Amino acid sequence: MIGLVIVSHSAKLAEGVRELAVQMAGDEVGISQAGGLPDDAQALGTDAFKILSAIEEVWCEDGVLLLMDVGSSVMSAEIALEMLPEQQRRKCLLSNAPLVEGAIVAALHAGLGEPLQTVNAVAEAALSTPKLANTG
Amino acid sequence: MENCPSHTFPQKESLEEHERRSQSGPGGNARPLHPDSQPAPANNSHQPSQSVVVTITDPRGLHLRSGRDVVRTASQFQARITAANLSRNSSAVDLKSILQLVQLQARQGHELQLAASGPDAEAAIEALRSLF
Repeated sequence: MIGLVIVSHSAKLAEGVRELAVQMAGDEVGISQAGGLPDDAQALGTDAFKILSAIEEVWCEDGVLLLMDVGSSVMSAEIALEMLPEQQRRKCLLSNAPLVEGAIVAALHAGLGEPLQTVNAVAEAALSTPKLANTG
Repeated sequence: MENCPSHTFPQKESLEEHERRSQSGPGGNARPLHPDSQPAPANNSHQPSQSVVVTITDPRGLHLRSGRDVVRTASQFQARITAANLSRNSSAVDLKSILQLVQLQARQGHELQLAASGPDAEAAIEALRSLF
């Protein structure tokens, strides 16, 4: 069963998205968060070391999927991956999914025991799934 | 639970809604619906299909957490399973996708047409109908 890492500029947002994800996943899915800057919990920003710790917190051999909000979240996550040993790095994946929808979908499918690439694919499908479709 | 099995369908109102939808059709990626589908004929027995109309009883409608349980249950079956919101004239969505499921925007009292096709279609519908 894969692990999930929620990355956001805001610690509050990361906590909130994690709360949603935990509700969608079973008890067996490890979900960690890395939001805000390390020195000041109120300051907005992302930090590679914080992300690295979050990866290590949920690390498992099945892999870890990282979901980011925008902009430098992605850069910080990339830097965090570069700090990992090669053996762990190749089992981590940065998702292109939108944060909230992606976390909900990824948590549900991780809980179903699906592999890393499959979970990421269904999460990224959120990019083409509008909220208001199919009514009318 | 206010489910009615497919053999009591079509109900008058729902059928009319379906006909309206067929005529005006939302188009685009809409998939064909078969709300009046009966158990598969003999020449198609390897792909049995089953459908049921369920009514949302939860005062909060079909929300994220109840949707999670629906997707988890649907994912246990091989059958292709779809749902359409008859009360909104929506097209059918994949019931194994939480984001498509919440697109149905199903409120209390709305009728959903669940349809399954595949070897375990009957068991899938039986398991799913109890969740609404």
